[in-house]
Amino acid sequence: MTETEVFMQQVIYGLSNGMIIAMVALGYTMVYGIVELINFAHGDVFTLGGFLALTIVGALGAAAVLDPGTLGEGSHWLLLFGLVIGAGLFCGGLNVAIDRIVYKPLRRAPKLTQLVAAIGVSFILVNLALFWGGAPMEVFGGGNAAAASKDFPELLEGSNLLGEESNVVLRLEDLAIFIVTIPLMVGLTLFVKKTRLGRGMRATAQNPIAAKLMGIDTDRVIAATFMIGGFLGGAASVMWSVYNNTISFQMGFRAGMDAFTAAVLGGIGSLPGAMIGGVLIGLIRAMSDQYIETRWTNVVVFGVLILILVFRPSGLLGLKQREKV
Amino acid sequence: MTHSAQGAPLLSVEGLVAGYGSVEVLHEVSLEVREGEIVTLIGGNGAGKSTTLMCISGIVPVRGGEIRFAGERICSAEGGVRADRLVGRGLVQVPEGRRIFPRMTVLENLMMGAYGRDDRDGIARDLEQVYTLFDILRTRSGQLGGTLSGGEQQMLAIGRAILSKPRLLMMDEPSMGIAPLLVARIFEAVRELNRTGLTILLVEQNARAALKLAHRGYVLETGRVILADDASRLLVDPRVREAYLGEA
Amino acid sequence: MSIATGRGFSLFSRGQLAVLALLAATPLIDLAFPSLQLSAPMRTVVTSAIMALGLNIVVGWTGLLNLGIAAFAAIGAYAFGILTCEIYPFQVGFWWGVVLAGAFGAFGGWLLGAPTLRLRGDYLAIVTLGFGEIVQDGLKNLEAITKGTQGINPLPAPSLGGMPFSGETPVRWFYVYLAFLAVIVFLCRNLEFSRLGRQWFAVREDELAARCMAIEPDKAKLKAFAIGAALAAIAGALGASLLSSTGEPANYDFQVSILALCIVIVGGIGSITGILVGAIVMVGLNNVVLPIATQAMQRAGIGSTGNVLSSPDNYKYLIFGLALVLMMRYRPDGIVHSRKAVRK
Repeated sequence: MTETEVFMQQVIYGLSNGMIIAMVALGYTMVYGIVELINFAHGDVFTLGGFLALTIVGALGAAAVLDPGTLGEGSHWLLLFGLVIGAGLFCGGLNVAIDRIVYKPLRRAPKLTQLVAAIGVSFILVNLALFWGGAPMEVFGGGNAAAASKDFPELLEGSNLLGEESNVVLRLEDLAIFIVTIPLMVGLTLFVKKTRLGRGMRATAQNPIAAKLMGIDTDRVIAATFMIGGFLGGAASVMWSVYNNTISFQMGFRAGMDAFTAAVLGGIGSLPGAMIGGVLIGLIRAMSDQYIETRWTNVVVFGVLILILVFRPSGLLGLKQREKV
Repeated sequence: MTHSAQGAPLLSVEGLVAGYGSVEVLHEVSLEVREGEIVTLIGGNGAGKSTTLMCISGIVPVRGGEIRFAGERICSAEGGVRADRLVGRGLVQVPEGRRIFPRMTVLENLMMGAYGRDDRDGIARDLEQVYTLFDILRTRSGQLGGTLSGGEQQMLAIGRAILSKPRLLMMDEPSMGIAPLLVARIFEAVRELNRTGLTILLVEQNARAALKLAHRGYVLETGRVILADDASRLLVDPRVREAYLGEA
Repeated sequence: MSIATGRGFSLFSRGQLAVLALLAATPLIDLAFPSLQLSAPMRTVVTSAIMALGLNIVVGWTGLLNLGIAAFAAIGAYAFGILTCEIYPFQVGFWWGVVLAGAFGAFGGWLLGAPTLRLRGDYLAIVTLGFGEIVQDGLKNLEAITKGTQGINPLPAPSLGGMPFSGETPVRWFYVYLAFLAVIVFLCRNLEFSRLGRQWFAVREDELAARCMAIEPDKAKLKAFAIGAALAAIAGALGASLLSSTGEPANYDFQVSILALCIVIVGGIGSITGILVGAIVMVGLNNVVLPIATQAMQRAGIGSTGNVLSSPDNYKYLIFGLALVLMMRYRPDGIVHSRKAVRK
């Protein structure tokens, strides 16, 4: 492989992972934008999305899923979209429930109280994922070693899309990530810009009391925000699982930190910021893996996070301090 | 200012009690606004003027008494109509400090006022009315709300409220922190709106200007209504003159 | 530093004395019920309490959420390891090792705090979390110095006037640690009523008002960070000595920071006595009750490794999580005073 090819390969890895990170980052940034809470549990909602996807695959029969003969041509894509929607709705619903039960009663409490509660929720969800991993299904190891990583079957198999002789590999999974994430991001942008509920979200984020005085049902807006953020996280978890072929009950911590860093990098509260930030973090990770060392990559990402928070807390696209009464 | 024709009571507040945490701010406040009137609520800092408006708008929960709007009970200690539904009924507030949306354009801000409306033609008509009333908003329609001056933001907040199609427009300190020239302009606009038939409840610290504009007035002191009369009589009332008009 | 209790001289408050006395009596329980094997967990109670007391200075008294306190325990443990282990040239011995570990911890706290303490509360929390992860990965990756995942060992146990301590004398060892705790409780108590303590409270309640009273919030915060980190580092050093190894860097992960936070919050934020109780409750749950219950269920044939739900040990995260959520929801008084909170 030439230097350029090595670099191109990292760009592909970076973009693919970056799009997934961006989807998770959107969940952080949307919720922060509207209720000023770092939803620490978001990463673990993401984890549970992966576990649901694996459960569905297991229920359908992992072997059957993998055999192209049983499901027929194109069915893998259908299954993938089904998983994306299923995990998305599940994570969205879970996110809304968490908000209702835990965050909503604390809405007027000090910010740090809310953050500690969110950390608590995160730990509860980690434990639920651990239990789930011990489910007596074959895909979960039949109930043994709940804490072990679980293999996620290779849903999309196929040869190098750039041709067999190319040194740079573009897999079907890479393509699938773009096919799933780009329409979702475009859809989100249009939703926020064009629909009434979307305008209500922007208004509530900018001034909740004024939004109420405009006749906006802010409770509904907040619930919708958690729903959408959760949906994107769930969709991302399916893509993450399909891409990496493994899930574990603690995967949300890492993914969550990457995504939160991306949201801060882009400017927390900003949707395009989260998207750009996600892609940048994906690229930074890939380049660090290649040109520094894999084992230092997390340090690099956290270093980026701290440097941004210290030197440019408003991020790349963020606004200066929000006005808040 | 002479009496206008007095209509039926549009808003009536009776024995309103409210507060924050363990502090009670309003102790049985009662007032009434009739159709077509400009009523002003004056009083010093912390008298409870803004809290009264926030109770009427359903933002601050009510602990006692009741609020009726257009003959219907909208608020009492047992609960009431949710804040977001009140706007649709025509109970609209221009809040203190304006609270415009800083990262939306002037036009987007105005359209947020029409959030719950579906009558395109009506919205277009009301938008035109706002632009006629405050020409500067038309010029600035593409600019971000946060970049406007204080006076322009106040105009935007009023315009936004007009797009909510109010039957009763409540304004909280529209003159606060605004250049005197613009204050006159805004009060003139309030008068014009009232002439077109809009009922207005105006909260002000600038008691003189408010009483000159209004038909009737209430004086609020530490959470109680201590005076209620025609605005012209309040203007000459010695207690008001001493406490609020800075005259001995 | 003055003893400003206003009620005449006393080393400890009644509550503190009661809990310390209770701790001092635990070896008796161990004598009565040797099967409980309490001596090891009890020493962990002591080290955890010291770490939580350090965290309390930052979270409880100064109102800054630190999610990376375990990093300072790691710094303390590794400093202790490098300074005392026979494979390094220093070998300063147990006592100097602990003291210097505290100094390194304070330096680490200062290093992290200096550039970040101006950040808003929630951002600062995330920065401390990131710092915790960086320290962990750094220790793992710098194998040449830290021995990577093997940890540094063996490490010295305390010794006093030629009287050695070892695994065979767990009770004596426990009392040495308890003495550490008592000294630190005494210091914390004096800090609480000192000028510096009042500055911390002022900063916590209202930074702007504090500034008006000629308090420099950044300096006060930095001192809180450094002192808190020093205590955590001492706890780390004591813990390492206990294991005769620093253990692997993953022993100082986010979960450890959260355990310390749980101790502070469950015990009663800002209250020294509360934190001592919190340490007994949380560590007792984590290191005694859950393992014993797990063993008991396995012996009874109810628990099996094949069923994740049947092992009480697997409920750890759930218990931590519920503790945090329920405390925030139902006992929020006094919990995490943020500057913002007071204004609202």
